[in-house]
Amino acid sequence: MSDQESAPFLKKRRPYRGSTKLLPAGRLGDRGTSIAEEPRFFASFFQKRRNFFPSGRALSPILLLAVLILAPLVASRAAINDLGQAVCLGLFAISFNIIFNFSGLLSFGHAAFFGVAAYGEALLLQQFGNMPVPLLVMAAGGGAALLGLVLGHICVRRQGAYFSMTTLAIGAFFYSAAFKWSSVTGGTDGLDGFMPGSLNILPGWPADSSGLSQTYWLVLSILIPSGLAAWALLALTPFGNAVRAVRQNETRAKFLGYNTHVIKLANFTLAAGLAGVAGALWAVDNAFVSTDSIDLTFSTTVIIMTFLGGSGWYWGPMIGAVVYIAGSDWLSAVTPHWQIWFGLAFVAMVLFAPGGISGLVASAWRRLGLP
Amino acid sequence: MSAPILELQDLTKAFSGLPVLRHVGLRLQPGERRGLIGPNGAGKTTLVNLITGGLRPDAGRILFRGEPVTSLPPHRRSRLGIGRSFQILSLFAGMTVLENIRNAILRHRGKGTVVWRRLSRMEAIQSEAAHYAGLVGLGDVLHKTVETLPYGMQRRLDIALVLAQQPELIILDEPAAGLSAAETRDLIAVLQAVIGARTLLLVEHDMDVVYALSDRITVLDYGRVLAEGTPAEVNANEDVRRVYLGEAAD
Repeated sequence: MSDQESAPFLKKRRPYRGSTKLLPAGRLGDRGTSIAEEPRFFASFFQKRRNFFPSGRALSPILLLAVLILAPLVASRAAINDLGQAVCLGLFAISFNIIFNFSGLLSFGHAAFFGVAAYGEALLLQQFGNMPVPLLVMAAGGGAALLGLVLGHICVRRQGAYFSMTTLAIGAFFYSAAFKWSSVTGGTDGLDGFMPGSLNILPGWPADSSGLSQTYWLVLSILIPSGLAAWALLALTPFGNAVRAVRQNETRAKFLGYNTHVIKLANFTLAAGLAGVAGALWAVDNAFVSTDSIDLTFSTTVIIMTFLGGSGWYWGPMIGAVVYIAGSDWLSAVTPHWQIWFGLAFVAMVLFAPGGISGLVASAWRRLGLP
Repeated sequence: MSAPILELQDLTKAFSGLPVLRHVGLRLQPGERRGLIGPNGAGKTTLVNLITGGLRPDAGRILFRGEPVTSLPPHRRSRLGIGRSFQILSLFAGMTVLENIRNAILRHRGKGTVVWRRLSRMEAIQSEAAHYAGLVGLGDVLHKTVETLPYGMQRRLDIALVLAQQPELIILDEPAAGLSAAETRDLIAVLQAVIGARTLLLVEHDMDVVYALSDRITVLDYGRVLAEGTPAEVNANEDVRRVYLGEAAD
């Protein structure tokens, strides 16, 4: 009863404490509007011309791919050499992110798929150098996908840290195998001299394998369609929708009739296959395969690349890989302790810009009022 | 009497030695609406989990349409026609109302993992999802994400997900939990309109909801079936009044 008596009293008092009095409406308010004016101008400018400007989401992948394709026309040989490496690592980072972002699982052994396919591609080129390269890359990628299917069956049943630990063990196993089984992998020496004199792009269409730009474009001609195909699968189809549904709420998906294990396994297999394509292309581009492509450090490097570029955007890890390669090249020329500085930059990125480079660009884009 | 759609035989379940269900038997006739009530800790949600596959019983059998489903995983039982809602809301966060319902319809139509068609071009699926949103009164918020909806609407979305898979047996686990009196009245109206001829197993604390939606009521107490009968019979039962309704009246 006492509550009811006090209620009118409260009602009387609340409007009296006018909310405007708490806000310094004068100076700060004026300044606020003048700052806000500019973006609003841009917003209206672009809104009126909406039809002429495709949205940032649609435009940015096209721009990114165009830059990658046209780079050999302007960049130096050394830069193209680096860029060739970077795009292969970029596709690898995208494949890592397919598990991380789309299934919410953090793999510590993803280099196993990249490395196995890289070694596989080297051995394939040694044996069947006259076969068309796209076929050999698809074979290596298919092998990695098959491996992913078998290993994923063990991994994706586990949640969170247990998944990560299982993938770590698998990564360690494949690194040891590559290290010890030197009759096949060359051990610490790696594999060398497997490139045939001329690469067959298609039967009867050879390319000079020492022509750097040609190799780069050959790599891109397989890399971009592979990346686009995986994107289309995940972004456009009911399958991609199911993968996201399982990440968002696995329990509910199960009770709606989704076989969540198979869906996670399919996504893991897709990522393993794409990592395999990346590894095989890297072997073609690099003409040398060593344990660097399969060790545990490499499995963590790909995590750094992914976060650097931004895991929230499908193509973000590609940017991360390019920036990582360029940054480490530049920093290592400046200081021998470049990894410390890179590590600090990475920590800062995770703390202050968890969306990575693509997240920063997207928020700047929005702040300018662009579509 | 026709063959039961759901039959529980002698179900027993213990959690680390503590018995939660003891020799529970239950028969649901097709089209029947059954209320399942009981004090906290009586084993109601455990029973729902046993029926839907969230848990396996220690002993006993579960028959759905005469076939044993005791050891089938949840997704297989869902495909057979057992749909459930959740006491603690379980929705697809970050997705819109339409996308949430679409997840249920895609699976029900056998298109949940199609890889050769664009989801945005599957217009029949989209309009069916919109239809179910309309059924539970969410037709105006199709494109709002789940987190932005008030709790009462989230509850109704949870039910829309169950309806969208068109199950023969609908199991609702405390659909009115956390709702205001007005929202509860709305919910009862919605449920009475949409359940139709389907079989319903309703777990609920709110007796208004139970009385409004049940033909028969089963009372669970300390993992045992204490009583079963029409609402009037259960209401008149001495044991029930003592352990359950008596408490509720305090």
